Amino acid sequence: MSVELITLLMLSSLILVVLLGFPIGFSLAGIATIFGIIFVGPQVSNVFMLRLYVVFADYILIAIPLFVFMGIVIERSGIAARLYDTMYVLLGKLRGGLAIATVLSCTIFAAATGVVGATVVTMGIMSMPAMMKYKYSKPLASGAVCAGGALGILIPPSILILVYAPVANVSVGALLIGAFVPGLVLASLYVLYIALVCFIKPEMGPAIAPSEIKVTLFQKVRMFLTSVFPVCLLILAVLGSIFFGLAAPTEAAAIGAFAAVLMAAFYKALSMGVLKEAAIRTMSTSAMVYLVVIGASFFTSVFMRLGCGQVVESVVLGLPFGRWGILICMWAIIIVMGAFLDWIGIVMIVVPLFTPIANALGFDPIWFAIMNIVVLQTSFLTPPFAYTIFYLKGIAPEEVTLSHIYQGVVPFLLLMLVAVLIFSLFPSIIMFAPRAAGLV
Amino acid sequence: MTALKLLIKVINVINEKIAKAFSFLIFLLVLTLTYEVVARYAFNKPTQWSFDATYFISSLILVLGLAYTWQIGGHVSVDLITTKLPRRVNAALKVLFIITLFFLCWFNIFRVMLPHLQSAWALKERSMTGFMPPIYPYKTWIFAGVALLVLQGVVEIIKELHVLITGDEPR
Repeated sequence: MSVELITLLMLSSLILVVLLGFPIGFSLAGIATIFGIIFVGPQVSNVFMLRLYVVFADYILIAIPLFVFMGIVIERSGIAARLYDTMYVLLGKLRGGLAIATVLSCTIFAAATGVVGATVVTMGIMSMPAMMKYKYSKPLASGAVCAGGALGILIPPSILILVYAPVANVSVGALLIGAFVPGLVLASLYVLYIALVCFIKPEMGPAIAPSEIKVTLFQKVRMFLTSVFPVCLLILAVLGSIFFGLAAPTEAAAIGAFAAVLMAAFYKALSMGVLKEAAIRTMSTSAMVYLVVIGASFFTSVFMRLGCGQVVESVVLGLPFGRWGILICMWAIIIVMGAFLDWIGIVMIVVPLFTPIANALGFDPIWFAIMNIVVLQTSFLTPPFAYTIFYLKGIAPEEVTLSHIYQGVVPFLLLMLVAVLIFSLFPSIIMFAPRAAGLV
Repeated sequence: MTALKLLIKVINVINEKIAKAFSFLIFLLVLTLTYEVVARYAFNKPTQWSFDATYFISSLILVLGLAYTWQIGGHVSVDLITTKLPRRVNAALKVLFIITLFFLCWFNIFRVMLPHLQSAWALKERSMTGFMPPIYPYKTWIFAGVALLVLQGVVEIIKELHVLITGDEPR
């Protein structure tokens, strides 16, 4: 059988099995075993065994359970309500202020927890009723929550980056540092868009009358210092220690986790029950991520051993679209896959195939990685398989329908594409920070 | 039938207890790594054992949690099509996939791990890196995790066969 045919069969059977609902990690491992036994020989099981030993000893991947733990503790610390209350008080009097407050609190909360679902649910529960009460446009309100939540995979520390870096064979520190500025750029684009739309059409996000928010300056400062300030300090401390080379990402994650426990204690939200729940949820979430990493590691080892990687590479490089044309094709594939698969499946299947192609085309691997993550954010907003939309529908007030949410995410999807354009024209927005840190 | 139900129950309870018990090691993981950074900067005495201790602890949490995570349906999958299919068709697909994809892969790993582990114990094998600690305990719990995962596979296939044959969820 020719390598081309094997490549086609291997990829198509994988997609079929995954779409028929078998867990992604088991599907990757199983397809790898079948093709491995037939075309390589029974010794693939030995290769898989050695891969298992390597994956569980991988130092960088250990940051996954640590960041997951940090995120869960922060989520349970009650910081979300404090964040939103503060933003509400500070921004409510502006046109569109509540939607801006939503995006900003989502950004901070998403950065701290690194989980999209938790951000959408937690922030949605608080911000949607508030925005409905003040007659905000339903699509605008929904879009702000979904887009703000999707920032969770981009703004570091994010679990996606930890999984992505070893697959693409790039420095995890450089990715963590490099993703920060693009994340802020995206958040600013969302804020600018909301401010602009509400300035032109005030009925989409009416300002709250000053008489309704009676808070003194002293109270405002106090609210800020006990909500926004400690979380931002925590995130910046984690990133700063990586940026200045004080700690490895895994160590920085542990310190972040430790600090998160202290923060929860400070908010009087710490109990044995919370810690126990956090430990168990950390175990099951991380085991889920690890199974996919393991399956993907088996799959790639067989796929590359059989020379299928080169087949994909030469087919794609042979396309008559030029350098940027091929790049746009790859992103289009990610966006299409994002409508069906969730991020971890996409990263594990697509990144090992695309990274060598991007390298061959002369794109910087760090830049390419962060661009992919920006593009991947669309997968949270594109139907039919859009996590954020389903989560938001589950917790939004009754009068918000699915079609409101679908309408609402469209402008934010377009803003993501605008960001892709900006970062393509000015790659130094992404590359500046990792270069300054000496990580590239 | 009662014997099968008992088997399912026993495996489920074992996997749940083990996974939950070892999940608490996360606190130890946070503390050892935090201590390592403090020791490096505050006491100017980086530890020798931090690197090895880190992956020993984390691998215990993770590999022993794989089976329980499957039990609670925590392994990510795509439910785009399955939610629209009849439950029995899904059960048939699951049975097929568990045999041809899951068992083929993981039972074979289990099989080749066994002699490998025996020789690691016989040699009292040590790690080639870091503090060069004994590596055979690490290989032992990775093996234990794989064994527990295979056991959970037995539970899952019995459950799906039950649905396929009787059309009802096992109670």
